[in-house]
Amino acid sequence: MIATMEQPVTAPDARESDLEEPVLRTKDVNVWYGDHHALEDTSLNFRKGEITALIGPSGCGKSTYLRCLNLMNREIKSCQITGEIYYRGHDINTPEEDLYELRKSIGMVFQQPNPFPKSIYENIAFAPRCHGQRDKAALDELVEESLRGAALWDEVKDKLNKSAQALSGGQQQRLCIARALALKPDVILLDEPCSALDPISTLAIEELMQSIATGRAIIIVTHNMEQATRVSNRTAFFYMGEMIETGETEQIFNAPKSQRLNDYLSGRFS
Amino acid sequence: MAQTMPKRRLEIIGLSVTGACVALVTLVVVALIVMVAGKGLSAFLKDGVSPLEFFAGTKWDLQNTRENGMPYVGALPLIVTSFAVMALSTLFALPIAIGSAIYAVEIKPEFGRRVFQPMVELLVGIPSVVFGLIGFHVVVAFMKIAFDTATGLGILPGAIVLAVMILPTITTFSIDALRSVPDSYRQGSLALGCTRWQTIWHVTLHAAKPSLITATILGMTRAFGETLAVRMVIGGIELMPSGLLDAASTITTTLTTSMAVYADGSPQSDILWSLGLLLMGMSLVFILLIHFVGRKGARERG
Repeated sequence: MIATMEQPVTAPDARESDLEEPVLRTKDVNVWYGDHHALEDTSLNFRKGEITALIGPSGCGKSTYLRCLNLMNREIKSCQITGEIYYRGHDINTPEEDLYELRKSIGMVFQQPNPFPKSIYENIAFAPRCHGQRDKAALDELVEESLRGAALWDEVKDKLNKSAQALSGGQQQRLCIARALALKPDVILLDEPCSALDPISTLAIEELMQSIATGRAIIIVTHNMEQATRVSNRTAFFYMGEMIETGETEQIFNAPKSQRLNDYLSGRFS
Repeated sequence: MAQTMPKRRLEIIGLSVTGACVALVTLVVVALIVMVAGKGLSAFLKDGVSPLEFFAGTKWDLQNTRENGMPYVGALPLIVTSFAVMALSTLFALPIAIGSAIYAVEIKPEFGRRVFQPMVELLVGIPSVVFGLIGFHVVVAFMKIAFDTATGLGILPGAIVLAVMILPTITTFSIDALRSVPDSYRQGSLALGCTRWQTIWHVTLHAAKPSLITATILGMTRAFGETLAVRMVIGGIELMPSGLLDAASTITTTLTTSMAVYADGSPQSDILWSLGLLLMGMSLVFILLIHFVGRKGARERG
């Protein structure tokens, strides 16, 4: 699986991974959009080397929760987040938090591939430049490293100056992952990254997720149950703005404890 | 009654009515081009005016003729003035238009939609004579005091009045351009930890660039073709301007001033048609530029 030499604590064993301090941890997070209480008292832990899937029916709050983790919800005017979100041990849900530094370490990939209308090279180099990297040689190296990390290098190395929007949907999504990797994040949030892709591209993204999970916490929102079982170590089930159940992916899918999750898995509602 | 008419007949009528409209428009366009081109070229073909003198000559005088009865037809002063006024007014209007478009779309979108955009659109509808009037009483009067010139008329007041006139055009199109940039680009950039300003500058403006260039060219086209308001503040002297405060005359203002003076078919009248042809050619160039920019933008997006 995803266990590697550098990261021996990634075995999908709960007790073993509990030993490591979570890189990201939330406690009683609530989200309001205006008067609408979109998420209630959600507490979860995320460790490096683990892939966590957030599942649940549409409108259950899983994407809302994901967008709390890098405070993207702050960009929505009427949105209010309460509760504690600890990243590397300190609470980021404060007005003083430096969003720019935070989002540098917590990358995000969206549902619809959204490469900028720039060249492939510029798409990757853009964010490091925003964060002050000006050295051309260092950028070149970073672009190659990130594209290799996203398993895209061999496909695009001869057309780095071509428009990123000429790539296929799957390639665009891997480019978006490479774009996030260029900032060397230790958490990557993926918001239904495969729902706009064909099965083969989906498979490529899933394989990629396993490889980038080394030394990073990966959190993925997905509608696709099979995808959750294929890629994740842990799963959290959301329903009507509440996190109902969380645990090892195997346990969640084979021996759900709550009735709601059981109903959901057996397709009694969606 | 439409209900009782056989469907097939209705089809034929619809087809012929809309077809006739298209035919009429086509006819008007073609006739217009043929007429202006024919009249405009006759100065060179019939009266023997050298194109070199027309485009490069600096003496324009239709009243005092040479020994051979030909007027002085060096249009360079008019061409230079037209371009100077256009370039200056664009230079003044563009930063303000883009700046306010950024504020109205990226920073305060509610205010932009509810207050600012309707206000700017109001400006578009004001007749140009009103701009000329205000320009004459405010801008020209100010120039007279500020720079201590005899009349205050000249290229600079012309450019300022024009800048105000093209400002709403460029602003409205820029607002539309920024608004049509997909929100996912902004989200993507913010999620990478880039600041709002970096996002606006490197992502939003970059993505909107082809449309912003089109907006600018549309403004320039208007500036180049505008006549009345410019005529009221520029002075109308057909000499090569040596500074921004010199009274001068553009292609369009010369056309309006001299149009009714000379008999049809005279060399003077023919050379005025040549000015008309030149204006038409320029607008063609602007339209081609817009198409070129649009095509290039589409290609870059893949």
